[in-house]
Amino acid sequence: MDIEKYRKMFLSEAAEHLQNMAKQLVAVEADPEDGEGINSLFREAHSIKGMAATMGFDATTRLAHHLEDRLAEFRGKGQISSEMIDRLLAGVDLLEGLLEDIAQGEQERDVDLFIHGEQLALIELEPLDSAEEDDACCDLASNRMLIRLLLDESVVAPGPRLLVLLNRVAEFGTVLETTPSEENLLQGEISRTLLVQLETEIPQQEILKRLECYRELSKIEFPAAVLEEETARNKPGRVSATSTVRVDTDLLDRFINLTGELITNRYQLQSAAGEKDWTELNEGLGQLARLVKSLHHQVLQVRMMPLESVTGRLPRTVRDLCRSSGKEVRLEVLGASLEIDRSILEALTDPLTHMIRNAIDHGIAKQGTVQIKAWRERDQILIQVADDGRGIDPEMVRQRALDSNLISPGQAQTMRDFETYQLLCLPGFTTKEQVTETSGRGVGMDVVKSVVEKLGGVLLIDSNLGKGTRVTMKLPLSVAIIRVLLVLCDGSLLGIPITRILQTVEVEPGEVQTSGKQLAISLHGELIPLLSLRKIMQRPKGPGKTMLSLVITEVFGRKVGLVVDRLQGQQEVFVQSLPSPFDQLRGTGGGAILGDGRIMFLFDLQSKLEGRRAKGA
Amino acid sequence: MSQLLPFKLGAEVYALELIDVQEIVEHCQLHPIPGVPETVLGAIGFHGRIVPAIDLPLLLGFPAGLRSERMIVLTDEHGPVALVVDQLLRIITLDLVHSVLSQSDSEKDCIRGVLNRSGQMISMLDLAQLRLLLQQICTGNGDRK
Repeated sequence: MDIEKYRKMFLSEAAEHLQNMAKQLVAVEADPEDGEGINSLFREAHSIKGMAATMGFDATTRLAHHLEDRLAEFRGKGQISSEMIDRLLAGVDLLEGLLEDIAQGEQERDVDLFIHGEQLALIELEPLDSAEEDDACCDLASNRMLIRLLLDESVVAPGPRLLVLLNRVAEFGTVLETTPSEENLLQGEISRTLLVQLETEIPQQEILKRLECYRELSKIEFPAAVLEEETARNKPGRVSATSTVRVDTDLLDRFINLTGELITNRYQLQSAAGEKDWTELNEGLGQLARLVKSLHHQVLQVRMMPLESVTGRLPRTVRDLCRSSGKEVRLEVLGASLEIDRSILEALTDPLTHMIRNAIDHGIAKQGTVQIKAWRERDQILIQVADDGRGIDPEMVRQRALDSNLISPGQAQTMRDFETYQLLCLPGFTTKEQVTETSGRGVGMDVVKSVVEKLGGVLLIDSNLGKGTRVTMKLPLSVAIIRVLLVLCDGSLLGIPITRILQTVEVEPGEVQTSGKQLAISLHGELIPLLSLRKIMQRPKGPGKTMLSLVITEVFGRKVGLVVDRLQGQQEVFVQSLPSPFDQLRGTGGGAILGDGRIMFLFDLQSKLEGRRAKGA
Repeated sequence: MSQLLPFKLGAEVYALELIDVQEIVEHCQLHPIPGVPETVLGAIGFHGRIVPAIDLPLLLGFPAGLRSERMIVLTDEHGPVALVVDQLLRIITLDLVHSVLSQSDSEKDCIRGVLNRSGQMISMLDLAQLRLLLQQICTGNGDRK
């Protein structure tokens, strides 16, 4: 039997069982007498054991068997203690780690320690959900530490950059291990993160300080000391979940039917073309359009996954946060069955966790409810995380932003509340006086915002002092097909995602004002600086015009007006990335072939400007 | 028996193995890609895909000249990418070719080796090196100028 072929299947199924177990464990903890819950836990463990044994994964089998044994005892008793839940959850974590090993094609990690009970103490010592940005628990293992470096999205040659950084890190001590390995990096593996296991005598703060001067690093983390625990907790299932998809047989049948119709259609068109029968040809084309649309719709269906596949993990996160903070938080999830494109969903895992953490850590004082709500509005998906906690005081945010020189006093005065909340998304901003271990140095909302925007969505924050905070992500239904505004720039056709555009206006050149060297226009009483698309694209100046076409958009949190040659209307386009290595060209996000054969390229103002900044630096 | 597709770059004759060629396209409209170095001429729509077109002579340092209307689209394994050359020549089969000259060790010219076909020297284009060159262009974009 070709094991390789079944490995992926095993991984995705086992990950599902594990997720169910984690969910069920939290549920059972809330209701210890839930006999049926314990039963189903037992069945999940049993399934994993069976599957792992078939595949010959020995350690996984033994651990699953061990968990099954314990569960069998509780099944007899009909109840389960809270301490045991901790232990079982730790077991689930360890199983996830094992799956990770298997996914990476590595030797399964050791499980005997756990089975013989010694790991219990170790796991209890650590905060159960050591946050990613957690810098409190370092230096645990004598003088070994883990450093995770995350390159900024705008870095053009991440591989070589990481190598340089690795050399830098190596100066601090002895590098024990890196992921990806140095060898792989040398061979051109492309990665934006580098995990280094370092043996050093330099304290963590010092290392942080020395690394912080590298501006290409968007994040420097010192994950918890135990490598296995860390990787097991943060990445489980994600690697394996992407590799295989389960498709409903109904859907497959519909594909076959559609293919059949397309074949018929093809012959119809062929014969109509042969006979030059224009009516018949037109009819055939109409049918083709309908079939293609239907096919597209069905294919998208395959890519859809329920939101639940991400929110399913959250009860566990909430539980752990409650335990470590001593708060009492209830999690409500509404609309978990809403289906979302899998690539969007996968990107949302971390932002959602961040948002939940923020809600519990900043929002809720002692006890409260965090609600996740997902719904559809036309061709957008909205996911909202709301808490009924203390809310955000816009005054305080303004003050804080002023203190850290993020805004000018003038800006602070004119800023409206909803704009003020957006400040929370600036890198380095935090409203919490005390940096806690769960939501630390203000990393978080900026990450959430950048993920959402990368997906072509927007992030909205709304708060009522004393009543709670709502953070809403507005996302497109699918990543591949987006709505863009087409603009012309010296003969090039560019597309700007509609979600990025605040509005478009046409103004007469006479309305343009100068303030210093900067050209600007006044719009609704607000002075908006102008940027020339031609200048940004390093094209020659265009001929003078009687009307200027402006696209008002936001860069680095500020409104700007982009002057374009001409606006060419909106269109839905199917975006494809350029083949490698052209996908690394800066400021070129991907392109689309329009109906008339023209090729349009996505234009990302922010990354283009960031590129220029980096170049100037 | 392998077949070669020879083409001219300046006064020199280069060749690709036919197995690396996906298609030769004619009269393809070039669409400008914003913000790319001048060696990237633009993109073509190739069976519903967007394929960048490269000015191969310029990339390899040959003088500007009359470029062929036809482009060579390499297989997906090598991109896909479309190569614009000066002139395409007739396909030849390898058994007509005489001795392979020494391997070129220069890193810049993308030559994998040189064939002598009855006095006609043909340089075999090194696709791995070409890819590296393209990689440099694409990632080094921000550093140029």
